[in-house]
Amino acid sequence: MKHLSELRGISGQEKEVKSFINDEIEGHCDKIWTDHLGNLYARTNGRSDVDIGLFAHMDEVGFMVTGIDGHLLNFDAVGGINEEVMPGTVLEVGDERVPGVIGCPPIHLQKKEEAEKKIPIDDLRIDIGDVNDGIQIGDAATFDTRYKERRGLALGKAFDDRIGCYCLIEAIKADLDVSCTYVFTTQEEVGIRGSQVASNNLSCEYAIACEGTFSLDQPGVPKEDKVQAMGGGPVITITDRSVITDARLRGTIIKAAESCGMPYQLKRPFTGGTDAGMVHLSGMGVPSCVISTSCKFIHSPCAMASLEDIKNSRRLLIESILSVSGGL
Amino acid sequence: MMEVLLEKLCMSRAVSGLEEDVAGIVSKELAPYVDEVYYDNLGNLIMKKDGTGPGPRILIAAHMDEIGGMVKYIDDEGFIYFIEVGSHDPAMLLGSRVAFERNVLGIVSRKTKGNELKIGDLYIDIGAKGKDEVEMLGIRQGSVFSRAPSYQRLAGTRRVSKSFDNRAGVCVMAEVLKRLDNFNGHLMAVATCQEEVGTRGSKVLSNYAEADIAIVLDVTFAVDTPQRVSPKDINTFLGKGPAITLKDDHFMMSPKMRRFVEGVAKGRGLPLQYDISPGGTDAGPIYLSKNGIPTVAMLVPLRYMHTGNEIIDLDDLENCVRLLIGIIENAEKQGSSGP
Repeated sequence: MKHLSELRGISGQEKEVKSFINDEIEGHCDKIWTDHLGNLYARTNGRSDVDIGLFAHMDEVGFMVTGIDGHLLNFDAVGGINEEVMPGTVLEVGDERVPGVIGCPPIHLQKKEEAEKKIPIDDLRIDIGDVNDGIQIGDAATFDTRYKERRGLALGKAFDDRIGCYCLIEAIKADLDVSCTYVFTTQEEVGIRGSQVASNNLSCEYAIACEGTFSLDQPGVPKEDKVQAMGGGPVITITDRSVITDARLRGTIIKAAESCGMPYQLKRPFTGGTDAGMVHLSGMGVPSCVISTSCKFIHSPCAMASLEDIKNSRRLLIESILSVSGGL
Repeated sequence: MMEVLLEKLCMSRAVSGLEEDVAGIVSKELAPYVDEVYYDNLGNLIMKKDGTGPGPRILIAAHMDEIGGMVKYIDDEGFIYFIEVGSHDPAMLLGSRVAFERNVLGIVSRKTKGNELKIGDLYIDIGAKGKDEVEMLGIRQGSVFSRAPSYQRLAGTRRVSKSFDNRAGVCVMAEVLKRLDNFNGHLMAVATCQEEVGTRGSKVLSNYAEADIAIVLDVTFAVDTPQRVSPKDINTFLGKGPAITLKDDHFMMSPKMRRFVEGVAKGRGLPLQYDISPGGTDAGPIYLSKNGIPTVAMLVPLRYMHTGNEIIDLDDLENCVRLLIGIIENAEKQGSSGP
């Protein structure tokens, strides 16, 4: 998890993540290949009745340099990031990992009404000091956040969706005797694009996507909305903005969770989309479901997750693959 | 005859993603009239019927799902909080009746005061004494409800129901399959699923359906009511015949198709209206599939869409059936390349 979290890979620039995953899974699969959009596929052949597609996206939210004015860089968000968390954020810019900070006027210089106002992204700049070390327009800027663990909690960036990548890698390493295609997708955060290409090229009978998702266990959320929380176990999706999950597949996954005796939560807000949203609409339709890990503060410089949840998500994915492998 | 099926379709529930009941009614009703009936993996119901001679491949699609809601939380007192499946006007939902599985009835009330109303301000009361009783009735997180089933006569040929959107279209498709006995070519009639959550059924359908011409059956806004904004708008009226979509947010009709449909309507003395409206229908994904499929969106005018009181005129349904039969019979005269 530490390595995965600290790898840099905004949408469209997932190379570093891809090569790490490739090294991790080599030797555990029958075939590894990629497509022109950068999706990484890993095939395992086994004695199972059905073929299962497993999906996790490699990309993370971040920034892209859009203009250079000396030591000040204009930028745009890649993926959805709350503008309020931007000022003061420490970043690594470009391949050379040049440190920079999204400038924020000190409180001494702000008028009261300015301090209360949110600064629009157009008015923000990344400041890299004085020398431009070869940074070019189009370079990525990622959160400079080191991974930490303490008392059963993990803190770090890119939990959405390196947790999913972690679960898929662990499933591959478990050497299950099941025919699966594991797909590590690109460009999910900018509109589930990688899986659109991947699902054109795949034929599987069932699909499961693994995600790092948000937690609603936060102040200000009314009780009827506090329905998925960090520490409450893997989240099994009933519906989100992109998919109504297949009832039989979902039932099988719920049963797997129950027979492991692990806690689980059901997700049903109509927000957020995942790779399953694309995959379930391909071919003749592919029965799909999503297993997520609920994290606080995703899409910000630092997210928080429960190690127990991550462990259970990994286990639930493996148990689900085994349960589904005999057909539903 | 047609009204018997229409009532049966309206009295059943088919919230997006749970269309089994309506699909069952349609497949049972039409099995004697078609050559093949099967489902795809998302839940689209596909019926195939071959004509007596060679001719074009014709695709007909009507979505069978309806809007509804899904339970997100049940509090200790037994009040049910929900999210919407498909889009509702919260003001129209307030005070209405809804039905869960096993026909458990509930009413929608609001927890807030004031003018502004959001879906999140609403809750459902099924009269339970507490959470336990709600769960005993089979309602839990993820349970789905529809507007309470209803079908009633109004003045003349007008009818009111919770879900003429789009059982009216499904009913037209069924009636056409029953009446057609002598045509050329190949018909593929599909009752699609999950239209109300973003035309998902027709997206899957577009992956595999091969057709020379497609006709999408749905409903549209009749604005011959006090809500009418301006007579200058192209307006659709109840009782003045089917409306063909010239443009919506996801579809544009080709001028060639427009002339073809106008010709059929004129030749058979059938009324025709035009629809230019926001939103979209199954026509959006279908007309963009394969090499582009020439598509007609034929819509039944309807008042008060997405409320529990949708009103249609049975005369429009009959004219829709006749126009569709005309299109099918004329399409074959154009040869296998379609109109």
